[in-house]
Amino acid sequence: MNPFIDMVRFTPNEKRYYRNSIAPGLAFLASMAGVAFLVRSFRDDWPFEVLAGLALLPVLPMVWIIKVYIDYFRDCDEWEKLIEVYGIAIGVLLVGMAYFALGLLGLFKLVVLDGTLIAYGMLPSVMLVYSLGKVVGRWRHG
Amino acid sequence: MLATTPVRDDDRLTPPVQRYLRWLLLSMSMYATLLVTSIVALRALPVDALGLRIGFGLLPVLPLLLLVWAFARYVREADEMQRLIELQSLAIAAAGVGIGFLVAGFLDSAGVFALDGELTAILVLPALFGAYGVAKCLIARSYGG
Repeated sequence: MNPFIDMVRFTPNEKRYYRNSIAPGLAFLASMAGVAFLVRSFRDDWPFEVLAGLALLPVLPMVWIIKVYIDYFRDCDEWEKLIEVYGIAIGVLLVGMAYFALGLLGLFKLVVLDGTLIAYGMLPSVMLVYSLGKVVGRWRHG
Repeated sequence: MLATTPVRDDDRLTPPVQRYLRWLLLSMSMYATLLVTSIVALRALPVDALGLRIGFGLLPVLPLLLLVWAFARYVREADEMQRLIELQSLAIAAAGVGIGFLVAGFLDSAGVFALDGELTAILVLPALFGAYGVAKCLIARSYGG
């Protein structure tokens, strides 16, 4: 078994998961673009509460994506579940450590960090390292 | 990462948990010592000694790497049930904290508040550990632990 090849050889459950992810993924992209446009255009005209509510709109498709993932996870067999959580655990620990190291460097004024970028980057970083963690999990657990 | 769920056999901690707690104690003591060392050294070092400053700035990360290694070993040695609880807790913590930081990013972009980069970065790991502890309690309870 090659863990790298297995990453692109999908089970029916995985195929269903990727198919179901398309709609929330597109909704996320559309809401991000729409919200960015509206907040930039009406920052000075609209009340603060409306802007805050608008800014949180892209969280809804993100929650939808996580719901699709949970459905996929429920349908995984025991071995697949172990690999999934193995990947997430590796992603969390590595990204957490990297952020902590960056934070220390920033705290000691050795690098300048952009708070917005740091906050935005956390979830995508975990997702990226999770994919690598899955490869490690498949390799470790045959 | 503190062991927050009942990981006991007849009121005694299992050997993997005992080993993990020993490493946890050691790494946290090292962390506290190295953090103080790092702060003192950075105050004394000249501003242009950038390499040395980065080295001392990153010193407190070393005991955390030790902690992650100890946790990975504990998960490897734990029984199937305990391993599932640990890993599921981390997964839930990742999703919760990830969404939390994403929300913070959106609100920052909308001008609701201004995020401090250093504080945001340094808060990720403690937030993950805190969420992991809460998730572990809930999951262990759902399995009847």
